[in-house]
This record gives sequence, structure tokens and C-alpha cells, in this order.
Amino acid sequence: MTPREAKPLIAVLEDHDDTRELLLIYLENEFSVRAFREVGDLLTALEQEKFAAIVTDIMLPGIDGYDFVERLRRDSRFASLPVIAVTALAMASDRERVIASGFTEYLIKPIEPQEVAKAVRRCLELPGSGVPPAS
Amino acid sequence: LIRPNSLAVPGAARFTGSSIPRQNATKNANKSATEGEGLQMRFGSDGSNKAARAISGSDTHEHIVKFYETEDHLCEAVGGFLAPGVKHGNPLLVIATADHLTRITKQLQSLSVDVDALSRSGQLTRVDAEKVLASFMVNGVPDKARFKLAVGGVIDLATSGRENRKLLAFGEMVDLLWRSGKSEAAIILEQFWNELARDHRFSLFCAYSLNGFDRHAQSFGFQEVCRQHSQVIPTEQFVQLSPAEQMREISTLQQRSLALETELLHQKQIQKALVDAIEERSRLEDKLRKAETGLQDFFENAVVGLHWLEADGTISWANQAELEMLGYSREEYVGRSIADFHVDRGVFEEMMARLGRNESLADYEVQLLHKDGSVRHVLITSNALWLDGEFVHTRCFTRDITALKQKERAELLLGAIVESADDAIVSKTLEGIVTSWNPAAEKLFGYAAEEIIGRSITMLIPPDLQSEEVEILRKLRAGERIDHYETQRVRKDGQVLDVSLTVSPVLDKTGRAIGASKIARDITYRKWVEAERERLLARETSARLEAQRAQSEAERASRMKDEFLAILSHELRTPLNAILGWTSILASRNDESAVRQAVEVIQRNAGLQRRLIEDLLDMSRILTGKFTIKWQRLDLVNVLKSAVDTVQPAVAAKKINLDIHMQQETCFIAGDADRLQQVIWNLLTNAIKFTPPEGRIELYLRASGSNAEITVRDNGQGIPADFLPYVFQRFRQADAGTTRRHGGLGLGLAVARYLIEAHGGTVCATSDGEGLGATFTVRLPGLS
Repeated sequence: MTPREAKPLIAVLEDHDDTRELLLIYLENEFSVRAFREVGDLLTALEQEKFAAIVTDIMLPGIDGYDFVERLRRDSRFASLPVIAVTALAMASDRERVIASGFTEYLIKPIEPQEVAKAVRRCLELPGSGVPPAS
Repeated sequence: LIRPNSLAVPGAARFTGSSIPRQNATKNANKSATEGEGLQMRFGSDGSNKAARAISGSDTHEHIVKFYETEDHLCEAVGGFLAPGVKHGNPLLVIATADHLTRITKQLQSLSVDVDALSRSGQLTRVDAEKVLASFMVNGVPDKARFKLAVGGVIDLATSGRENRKLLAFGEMVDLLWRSGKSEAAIILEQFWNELARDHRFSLFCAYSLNGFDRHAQSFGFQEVCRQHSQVIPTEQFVQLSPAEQMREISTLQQRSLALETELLHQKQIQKALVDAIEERSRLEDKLRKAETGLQDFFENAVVGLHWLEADGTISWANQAELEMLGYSREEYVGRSIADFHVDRGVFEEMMARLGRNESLADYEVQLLHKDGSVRHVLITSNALWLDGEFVHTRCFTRDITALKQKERAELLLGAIVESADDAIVSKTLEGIVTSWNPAAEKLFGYAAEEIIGRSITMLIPPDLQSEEVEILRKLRAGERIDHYETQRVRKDGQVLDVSLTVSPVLDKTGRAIGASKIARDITYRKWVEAERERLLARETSARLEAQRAQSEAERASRMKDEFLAILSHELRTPLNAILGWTSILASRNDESAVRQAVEVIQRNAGLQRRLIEDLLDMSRILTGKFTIKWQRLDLVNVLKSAVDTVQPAVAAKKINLDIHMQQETCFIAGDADRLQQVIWNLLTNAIKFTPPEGRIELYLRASGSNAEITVRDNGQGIPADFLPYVFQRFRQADAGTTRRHGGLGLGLAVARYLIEAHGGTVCATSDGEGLGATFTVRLPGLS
């Protein structure tokens, strides 16, 4: 177990309370996790803290995940920041849009408990990330 | 000839007057006669008596004229005039032609006058009359100044040295002028002589050949010559007679003169009659010539064609009109047989046969060949000229009626067209009175020709369109045409027809409108077809629009379906994710709090899913018509309480203040309790969903007339006014897309409305706007 201070800081953005709770449970063993309900809150935090990766839902109140990741990619500071989409949007058209928007990884709900952490590790090029899933 | 010296010797005596009045002269003569000088003396053969008196030195100017018939007698007379002067020493002057100078010289010599001695002494001066005359004639008229200079000079010369004696002068310059036809110049010269006598003393002896006065017209000139002289001496024939013979001679001369005057008058009358006759003849000849020319011109250039045919049909003459009518030259036509030009030889033969029987043909119609190959229709009027029972030639008048024939045929054709036309063809006057009416017009309007001809066309015009005719007539009078004017007319039976009118003015030769022709076409069917076409077009357009609408609706439905599926997928996966996630947590953790939380989450999310699935199934049943209401008597109070119970956990979770106001303890209606509970649960859940934590929700139940009225009011986020109309439509959510705050499929309110309506009730939503809460009111019919 890596000491808590040494854990990479991960942001989780999810408005669905039960899901957010789950994601925290999935990730907090390996990562230092900060949870957010809305994009605005995370954008504020991004100015103050350095996150190693972001795990985010797409369907969000006010500003959605697409908009959020596009904003990040326009900002040189976050152009290469890993952003992993964890979404229930599973239609073919959603998939195309997710990839075009600049997400690093795309996980479709329901997800396996270890899948999110694995994806984060992959993005951070940490051991045990396994083979990246085909887009 | 002796040239006169330029001596200017003024005349010693003056002549008493330039023009001696005739009576004075006569008086003097009478006086002389009464003084015993006798006729013999007065009309002396040689003038010597006068000469003697002139010689006597009397101051009287004498101006004697002598008429002669022979040269010899003239010379004798001149000799007689000069001879006494020789004796008495009078100066003598002879102004004569060269021939007469010679003769007079000889005459004087025969009277024993030594002419040479006289000339040498200067007593006799002889001058060439022609030369002197030429010296003062200017443009054929004697010039007074030159005359005075020339003749006055000669007189002065001749008188020089013998001024005490009167000059005796003979001059024949006047005779020269007279004989050369210059009678007026001669008279003027006589006057000059008389005027010269005012300054010079002389007696002048003039001589005129009587032959110079042989015409009647010279009577005046003769008298004028006599008047210029103080003494007149007749010719030798008279002066040689005895006085008795002279008297007889005078009588004879008077008689002869009278006879001659009469004869002359008669001659003049004959002459005039002759001239008149010649003029008349010339006039008649002229008239005849004109008549002939006119007649020739009349035949040759008459507008009507004319020809003569011999008995065998040979054309012996034809005029210009005839040649022009058939296009031939005279050489190509005259001399040939008319039969060659007839289209129908039989007609020609019959014509000639009838003319041969001395019949007259009037307007006999034949067809003749034009040079260009065309056939001319010609009317022939003809008869024959017979002389002594012999046929000489025909007198044929030909008139080309080809154009008339064509016009006639065209009219027949036109008439036939009008008669058989399908269109009504009508003519009318400029006052609108019908003048012709074809069968199609009878058929179209129902009036027979005799019913309408002579009556006004306005009979056909509907009352509200009467003003049309005024405008039509105005245009026609202005020579304008009306084309395909669509209007309405009335049949005799009152039926209104749609017609298309074409009205044209009928113009006379001067271009003035005198009437109108009208073609009316029944366009009722066409109008119907047009209307039908328009109707079909409109229908097609609306069908197309409907199809477009349906298509866009289908597209919208398809898009909505896709969106719905995406949402459905999302809405099912989200709770499923929570369920599966917590299930796996349960598998690895068994501490009490984890288990309790997991069960809570799983129950909640499974409930959400169930609700979602039930809404879907309800909607599916509604859409397929398989939805059923299980009717029963129920108490709404219980239904409401049950619904409230089911939402209590959610109310508690959001710390919402839920107030329940029920006016009655029981409220029975007929309906399906489960479904109504579903509706109320739905409305409450909806309110909870859109109400912020610690918000307020009120539930009312009250009677409104016979209805039961349930109201759910919240102070939540409200409904935007533009979304309010769609609030009960399925799949519609005010907050849609990937940025929505609330989950769900948008089916709850749609299902709720259906259920209420299935119960015979109504549901409506009101909101004062965003942030101002919303109110849903359900009315259900109560039990009577």
C-alpha cells in the first residue's frame, strides 16, 4: 500500500450520488480522490490543485462532460491531463462524440469495480494498468 | 452738184403760222379764185401761175404740193415752177434725186434756160435730196435741229446775194420718205418745212407720186399731206382738162369715190364673212378632231375591256384594258382567235352562234385564260355590227369579275363557317342592336335568330354586368378590339354562362367603325375544368405539405426515438451501475454499515428502475390501446395517504416540508385505486424532484362542485412559460440533453394525464415561471 501522501491526486466528477460514492470506494485505495458534483467546482479546484487524472461522468448539470473536456484541451496546462469518461451514454453516436471530444479513456456503465482504477493507472502509466481497451 | 456754203442769212419775211387753218387756206384759195384767177390758173399744169405770184415778192409763204402720175409730168411741173423765177432773178433751189436733178435740168434747158449760167451765177442751186435727207434722219425720224442746220443752210446758201427776191424751192425729200413707207416721217418733215418758213422767205414746191396713195388706208395720210400745204395741185390728168371737163371729172370722181367706198364696205363685209367662215370651219375641225381624239381615247383607254371579233372569232381590235385584263401584248392578242383564250370552247361557240343570229348578249359569263395561266372570270356584253347584211364584227365589252367571284366565294365560305361554327358569332350595330345571329349563338344563348335580331345585345348581359356593354361599345367606336374577355352571359332560360368574348369593330372603307362582330365561346366547362384543376392542385399541394409534415414528423419521431433510446439506456444503466457496484461491495465487505448502505442504494436504484420500466410498459399499453382501468368504488383520501407514504422517504431525504390538506375524511369516486395512487405518487415525486432541499410541497383534496379536486403545489424551480404547453407530452422534459439536472424518461406526467383522462377527469399545470414553483391540479368526477 502506497503512503497516502504519495498517492496521485485524482478528481472524480459525478452528479449521481450513489455512483459517485461507488467511484470513491473504487479509487480511494490507490489514489487520493477528490469528488465533485458539478463542472464549475472542479474548474475552480483545477486552478488551485494539481490533479494526476480526472474521472468524470458526461451527463452533468449545467456544463456537460463533453464541454468540460473540450475546455480543458483548449488550455495548454491541461492539454495532456488524463480524463477518463465513465458514462451511461452507450449509443454508437455517443461513443463517436466521446472520442472526438478529447477524453483519454471511455468506460461505459455499468462498470466492473476494478476497471476505473485500472484505467487511471493506464493513463498514469503505472504498473498493473493492463492493455488499454479498444476504442 | 454744188455744195452749199455755210452762209447764215436770216429770212427777210416771217411765215404767219406754223399750221395754217384749213379754212384759211380754203378762204385764200377762194379769195384767189374770186380775184379772177380761175380754175385754170389755180390748177395750172406747171405751177407757173403760182411761181409767178411767188416771184412777185409777196411775203406770203407758199407751200405747194403737186401730185403726179409720171416722171415727165413732174419735171414739167418743176420746170414750170422755176422758169418764171429765172426771168425775174429769184434764187432757185432744187433738192431732188440724182435722176430727177438730171431730168429737171433737161426740162429747164428745154425751156431755153441756160442752166449752167444760172448755176455759175449762184441763182440756181441743185442739191441731192437723198444726201440731205440722210444728214438729218435719226433712227428713221427727221431730227428738227439737224434739219434746220442742213436745210436752213442750203436755203441760206441759195438765197445768198439775192435776198430781195423770194427763194423758189423744189424738194422731194418728203416724197422719198413717203415712197419708202415712212409716211409719218414725211408728215413731220412737212411740218419742219412749215416751221422753217418762220425764219426763211421761200416758196416750196413739193411733189408726191400719186402711186404712193393707191390704198384706201392712206386716205388719212393723203389728207394730212394736203393739210400741210397752202396749195394742192392735182395730177396731170386733171389739170390738163378744161374747167367743164374738170367739173365732170370731179362729179365722176365723186361718184366713183362713193361707189368705191360702198364697194369697199361691201368688200370688207365679204372679207369679214370669209374670215368668220374660215374661223368657224377651223373651230369645227378642231371640235371634230377633239371629238375624234376623245372617242379614240374613250375606246382605247376605257376601264372596261373592249374588243371586236370577226365572224370566225378572230380578234380584230382590242383596247388597253382588255389587254391588261388578260396580260397579253397587242401583238400576242389581236389577230388570234378568241377561242384560244376561252377555257370552255363550247361557251365560245354558243356565243358566236348567238351573235351570228344577231342576238345581243348581256353579262354573259365566260372564263378566259390569262397569260400567267390563271383563269379570269369575265362578263361579256356584246352585239354585232352588220353592214348590208354582212357580219362586220362584234362589239364586245368585257368586265373582269374574278375578284368579285373570289369575294363571293369567300363570302359563301365565310357564311358556311359562321353557320357551322361551334362558337356563337354575332354582329351588332354600334348601338348594340343585334344584326346577325348564327346557329351556334342560338344553341348557346337559347334565342332563335328571329327572336333577337333587331333587339339589344344587353338582353344577354346579367343585370350586374350591364355596364360592360357601355365600355365595349365605347371601345368599338374608338376602333379598338376586345380579345378573350371572360365574363358571364345569361341564356334565355336564365342560366348564367361563363363566356369568353372577342369583339372586333367592323370598319368601312374609310376605317370608320360601323358595327361589330362578336365571337362568344362557352367556357363554362373550361371554367369548371380550371376550377377542378385548381382544386386538385390545392389538394395535391396540401397532400404534399401533409406528406412533408408527416415526413418531418416521422423524422422527428425517429430522432425522438433515438434520443429516447439513448436516454432510456442512460437511465437504466445509471441505477444498474449503482446496484452492480454495491452488490460487488457487499461481496467483499460485510460490515453492518456497508451492508445497510448497500441495501439502501440497491433498493433505491432498483425502485427507480422498476418505476422506469413500469412507466415504459404503461406508455406502451397506452399507445397500443391495451391499458385497462379496474373500476371500483374507492376513497380518494386513502389513495392520497398511500401515495404520500410511498414518497415519504424522498421527502425526508430532501428535508422537504410536505403539507397535506384534506377537506373531507372520505372522498369516494369510481376508479382504479392503484392507477390513481400512481398518478398522485407521480405528481408528488415530480414536485419533490423539482423542489430544492427544505422546500415546500402542499397537497390538497377538496370538492369542487361534483368533482373531487386534488392539487399538488410546490415552491420549486417552476416551469418556463414556453414549456408549459408540452408538460404532459411524453418524452418531453424542460431540462433535456446531456446537461440536465434530473433524470427520468419524461413519461410520468404523460402517463398521469392519460390515467386521469381515462377516469373522465382533467389535469392541468400552472406556473408563474422559473423559480416560482408549479401547481398541478387534478379533477376527477365524483360519485353522484
